[in-house]
Amino acid sequence: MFYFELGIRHITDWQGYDHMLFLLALTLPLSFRDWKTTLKWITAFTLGHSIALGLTATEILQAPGAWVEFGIAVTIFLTALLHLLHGFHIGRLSTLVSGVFGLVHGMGFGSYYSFIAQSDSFWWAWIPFNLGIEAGQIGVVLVLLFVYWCFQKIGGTARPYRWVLAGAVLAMSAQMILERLPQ
Amino acid sequence: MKFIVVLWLTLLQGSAQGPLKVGHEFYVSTTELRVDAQQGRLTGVMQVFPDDWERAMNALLQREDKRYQKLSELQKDSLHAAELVRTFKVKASETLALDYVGSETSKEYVRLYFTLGEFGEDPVDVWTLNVWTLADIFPSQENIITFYHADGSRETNSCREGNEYLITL
Repeated sequence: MFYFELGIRHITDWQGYDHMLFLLALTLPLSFRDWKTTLKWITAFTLGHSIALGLTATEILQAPGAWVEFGIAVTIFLTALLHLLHGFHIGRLSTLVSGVFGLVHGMGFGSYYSFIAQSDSFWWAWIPFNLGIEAGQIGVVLVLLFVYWCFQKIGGTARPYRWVLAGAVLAMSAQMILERLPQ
Repeated sequence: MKFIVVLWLTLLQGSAQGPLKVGHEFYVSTTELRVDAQQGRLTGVMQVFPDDWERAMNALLQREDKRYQKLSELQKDSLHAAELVRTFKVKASETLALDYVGSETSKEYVRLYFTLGEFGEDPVDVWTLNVWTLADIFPSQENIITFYHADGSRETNSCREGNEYLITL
């Protein structure tokens, strides 16, 4: 149960806000009606994240930390940009893109995970931790969809808010990219 | 057109903001605590990141104007012991005395070995752990504890800001 809760906290931790920023970027075109697509996208992200986490924690996959952090910022920027370019239409490629981006995010957490899981067997901690990540993501996404729904009810359409949110995500991720440029 | 406006706003906002806090800054330690019923003691190994530990030790040494890396092994051990005694509290029927054993350092970790005791012959129903090691330096510090009971069962939990660094097992 501890590792499940840790997975949830990993997603909802304000100090590591890049996960939430990615979820915001990912869900920009979605609404409650698109719950199947929503579930597909975030599950693809979790799968990618889990696989990369396992591979990096066991050192099968190794990538320089600075490049991974830079890559995470790029995935957030690209996700928001793709949605902007497609006019917030739900594209077929997004499940795959979400999974691939999940791989990048998972790599960023591998060394931390191998450190925290040292006292317990790898699988004992890995499964509940990743289930916690999925649960945390579903929670965050539900909140975001509710916010979009409120926008829709207030303004008749959520589209202008999506443009503004996309702009904010682009701004923040652009700054992250600049700050994380590998030396 | 809208796209250009958003991009323009993006650039404006980006240039107006201060630096964002970069990345995940995780501050964590992991500890294994094992009940040795025969000896009436707990044996413990705490693992911390070397850079976190060095930063914390340097903060402790600031008043004396010393640097951790310049200390002898004996002085380092004395500092480690004092820090653990100060910040690692385990209570059975009463608070157990911590005896520092030694440390091991690699590029990936610093391991601190210690024992706690004595808790007597009666089985202990509730263990109270109050571990705020490194939390003075890193407010988001999380100290994960895996506790191995005398019957072989184990529990994992963490002392962190959210629970005032206090857990019961």
